[in-house]
Amino acid sequence: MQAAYHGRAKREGVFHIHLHGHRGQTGMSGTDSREIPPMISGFRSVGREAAHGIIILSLDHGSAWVWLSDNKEPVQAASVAVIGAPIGVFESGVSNER
Amino acid sequence: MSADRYSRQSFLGADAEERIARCTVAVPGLGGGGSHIVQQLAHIGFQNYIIYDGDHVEESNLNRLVGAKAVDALADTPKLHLAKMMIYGLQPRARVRGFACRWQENPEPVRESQIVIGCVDTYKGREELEIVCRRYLMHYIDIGMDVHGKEPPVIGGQVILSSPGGLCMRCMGFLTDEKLAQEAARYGDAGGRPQVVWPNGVLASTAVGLAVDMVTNWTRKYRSHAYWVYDGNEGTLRDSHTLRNLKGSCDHYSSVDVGDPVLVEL
Repeated sequence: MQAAYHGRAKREGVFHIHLHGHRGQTGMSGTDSREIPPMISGFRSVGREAAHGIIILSLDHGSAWVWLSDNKEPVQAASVAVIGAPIGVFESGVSNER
Repeated sequence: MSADRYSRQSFLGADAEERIARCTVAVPGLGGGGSHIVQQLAHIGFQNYIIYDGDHVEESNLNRLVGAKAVDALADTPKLHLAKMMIYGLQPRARVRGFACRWQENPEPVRESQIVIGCVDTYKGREELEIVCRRYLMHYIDIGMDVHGKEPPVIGGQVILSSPGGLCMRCMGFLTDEKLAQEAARYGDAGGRPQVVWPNGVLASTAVGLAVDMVTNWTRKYRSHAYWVYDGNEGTLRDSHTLRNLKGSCDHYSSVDVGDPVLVEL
């Protein structure tokens, strides 16, 4: 992590991102909940002033959690926006499945 | 909401209504262009708006300001109020964040949008909007018209899409240092430039069509940029010639220069 941060702004955050291969609303699985949040302390140890977090995507949805620099607990993002073509806006707790 | 409400636009896709409803659009400038834009966005079903304008209706606006009535010039009605009335009249549950000022005076709300449709008068204003859209990762759609010459007058205009990672307005040759310098030299001397309702309508409708496509992808075009040139005398809207010779990526905006600017230790 220190190498990744070398020469970069102290306020640049690190986000763990992975994809669940299903459609619809997604979130942290049991394994994710156990294994990913502990990574955040590692991110914070080198980027103390930055917000860090986790983004979990499904094939058509996404959820995100952000650890702000002065908070121990994460804040769940109200929405995650994919600025591409087409635009996707995924709201927390709202499934896109039809 | 009745199932009939959007039945005539079902070709946009089975999930278009939800996709449109979740998207947030910022419209800085609610004059001749912006008034058309918010009206059409509301008709289509957009629910989330961030809108800016600190001006009031004047008599000289009535030739083109959609939604304005003669009494609004007498009553000094804020343009922001007209836009809100337009939106709420069509979408009573819309979430409208309106600001009676220039967007630069309160820029943070713009960042909550996914699309910014700029309806500003100056090259400088356009450059500032594109910069903030690149830094905070939003699609920028620009519209504008002008009238040149006298024998006969020529109406020109443009609709431009500038997306993060795609070609920018400088790449496309629309913004240049020369244009910005000429405009700065004329500052305070511009007066009221010619503006009429029908070119604004064409350009605004095209911009809204582009925004709908960005959200629903109904054309399957997957655009990263667009530059359409309007010829108001011929009644045409065509791809800019400059796009034909353009390849590759943008050299003006780096993919790492995003978010709040910060000092970097060297």
